[in-house]
Amino acid sequence: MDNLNKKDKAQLKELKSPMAVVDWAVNWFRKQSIFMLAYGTGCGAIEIPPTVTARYDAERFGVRGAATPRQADVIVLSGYLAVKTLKRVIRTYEQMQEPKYVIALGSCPINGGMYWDSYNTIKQLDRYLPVDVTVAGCMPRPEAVLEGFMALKDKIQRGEAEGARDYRDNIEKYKNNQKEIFGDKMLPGYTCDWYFSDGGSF
Amino acid sequence: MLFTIFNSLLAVLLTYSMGMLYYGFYRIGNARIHRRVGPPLWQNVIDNIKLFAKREAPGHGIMFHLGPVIMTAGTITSMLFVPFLKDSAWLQGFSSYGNLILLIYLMVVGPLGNALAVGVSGVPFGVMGVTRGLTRLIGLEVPFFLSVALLMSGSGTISISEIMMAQDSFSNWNMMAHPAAFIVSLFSFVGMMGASPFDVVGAPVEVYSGPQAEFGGKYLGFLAAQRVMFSMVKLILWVDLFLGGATNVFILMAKSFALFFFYFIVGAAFPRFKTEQAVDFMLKLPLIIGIGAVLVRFWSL
Amino acid sequence: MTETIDNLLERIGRNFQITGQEVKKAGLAALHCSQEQLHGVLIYLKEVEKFDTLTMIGCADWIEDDYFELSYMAYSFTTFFTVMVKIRVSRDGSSVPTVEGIWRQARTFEREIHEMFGVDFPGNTRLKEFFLENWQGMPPMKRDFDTVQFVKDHYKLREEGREGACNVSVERKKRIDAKKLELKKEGE
Ligand code: SF4
Repeated sequence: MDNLNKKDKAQLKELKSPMAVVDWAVNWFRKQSIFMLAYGTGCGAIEIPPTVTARYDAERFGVRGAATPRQADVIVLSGYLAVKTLKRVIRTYEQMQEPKYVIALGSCPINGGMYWDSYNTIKQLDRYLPVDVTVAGCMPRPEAVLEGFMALKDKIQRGEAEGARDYRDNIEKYKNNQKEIFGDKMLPGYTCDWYFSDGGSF
Repeated sequence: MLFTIFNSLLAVLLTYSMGMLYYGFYRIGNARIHRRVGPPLWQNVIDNIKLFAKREAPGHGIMFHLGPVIMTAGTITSMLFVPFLKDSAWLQGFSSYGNLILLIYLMVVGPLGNALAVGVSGVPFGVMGVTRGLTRLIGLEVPFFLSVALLMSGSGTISISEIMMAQDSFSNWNMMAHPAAFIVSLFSFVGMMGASPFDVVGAPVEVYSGPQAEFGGKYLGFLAAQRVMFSMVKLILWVDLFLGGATNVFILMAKSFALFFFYFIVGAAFPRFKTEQAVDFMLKLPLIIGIGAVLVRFWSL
Repeated sequence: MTETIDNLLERIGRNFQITGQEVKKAGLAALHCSQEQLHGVLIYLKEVEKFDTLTMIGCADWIEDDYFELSYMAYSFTTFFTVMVKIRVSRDGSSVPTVEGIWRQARTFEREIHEMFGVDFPGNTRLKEFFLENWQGMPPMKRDFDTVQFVKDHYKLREEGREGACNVSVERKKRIDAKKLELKKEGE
């Protein structure tokens, strides 16, 4: 249980203006309560259950599962993403509420990993979504996943975890990259369009 | 007037902080049962503040906005008609103007208002959750009404304060005086608190938190806050009706925590019913005990 | 008399033209037949021999001999036998009438083979895209499909940060050789 630990206190002393203190406090609450949407895209989905259950117990750090994207703060993408999955992931990401973060697990989202020559998985996740933290490994063990969460917490506390803002500002770039692989089956602006145009059926 | 307003605010604050504390205990307790360390006690408060601090929240028009508001308003209104303490001017709200029957109606206003909002959002899981909730209500309400009717006929009044006043010594607590009513009401109590085995409404892996599926950010914050407050209102109501009420806040806490602990144990021990099973269960044993008790009651009149 | 898989094969052989058969292990047999015989054999298996379910349809690409081999695996819950019925179809523009009418689950298996190998199954009611969305060009599981080239054309591999990258198998071999040398010296 890390409540106000030494690092937090040291940071707090350095703050000058009252507004900075408020920002700091809001960030502190954000980092202490992380609702996670675990999107099991690849092999790594199997590492999430031990992370949140008795053995590694992510709940003691305030990390807790969320049921729907609307309630979630962070989306955890565990492993390779097929093109079809990526579409769903982007939809899910766009449904989340700001501030929102992305954690990518494994080497597949970083550079393709062992699926680098697969015809149907994407090679660099950060071309399509603003990734805050990537945890390397194939597959990273739960300790490493927790370490990834700690890195994310640090980032939030420093106020640098602004992936959502980045996504909004550079939407052209991201959408162009997405268009490269989706072609004319690009995602429409609204979920329901896509749902009724057969994208949601199987 | 000022005193009443102050009193009402105090009631809101008290239920919020007590509820958050109890639910913090709930999470830690569950974690210990799983042999985990668990979150800090105030994790629920942190979650709640974070939800209010989120920058965005999705909207689906005016009705959607009103849903959580109606829900919270329903909770606070029913809270104001429950007297927290006996023999005291404090924390009475408007309970002198209301009675048990009014309260029973008020308690379903919030969920119904929320059901409208869920309908507007058009999320299938939310609608499923609401349907499940209303189905479950059929099962829960019947034993509850039976036990409340027994209680009212037993004490000869429908005012909560007077029912509470009548229980002056331990042997006069309604729990002792009307054991059948108490046992029947406990079934509905566990159901109304929404823990397993009766958690079909928000069942996380089945309907993705049900009615709350589309609510994010501040809406979810409101819903989370009103949930703990509503639970506290029910706990206090049961303390008033069956456990002899409380003369000060500490006794109130002790008694309501005992009830909460019962609810926690039941929730931790039993798996979830299916929706029909929940209704079936409620319409079997509790109903039989309830009807039997009512018959005995009329026999002896 | 207890039922053995040899008896079963014999009965099938009496009724149909089987071009080849073998018992792979206890309870698992493979039959080869022509495409015209396929439906007859499968219906016979299901209706007479009580093979209740189709566990899968496999497809193998024998590019050297220029044919696809489709294997229909039927399973019986009464005798616990598995029978593989194999047919050969040509590699390009081949079409096999669907067996959806016999076992309904076949339509999903056929849908996958259609997508991955391009075999057509006339009569299948659900022959649309499955795993791949918006796929154009050669079906990817054919062996003449060049994945590496496809990846180079369609995706960007990460360039930066890989300057010092070594070839893992070469490096590993170097290390093992060095270790061996070391051990040898120690031994001397
Ligand atoms: S990094 Fe390894 S374990 Fe993770 S998805 Fe890729 S191949 Fe699977």
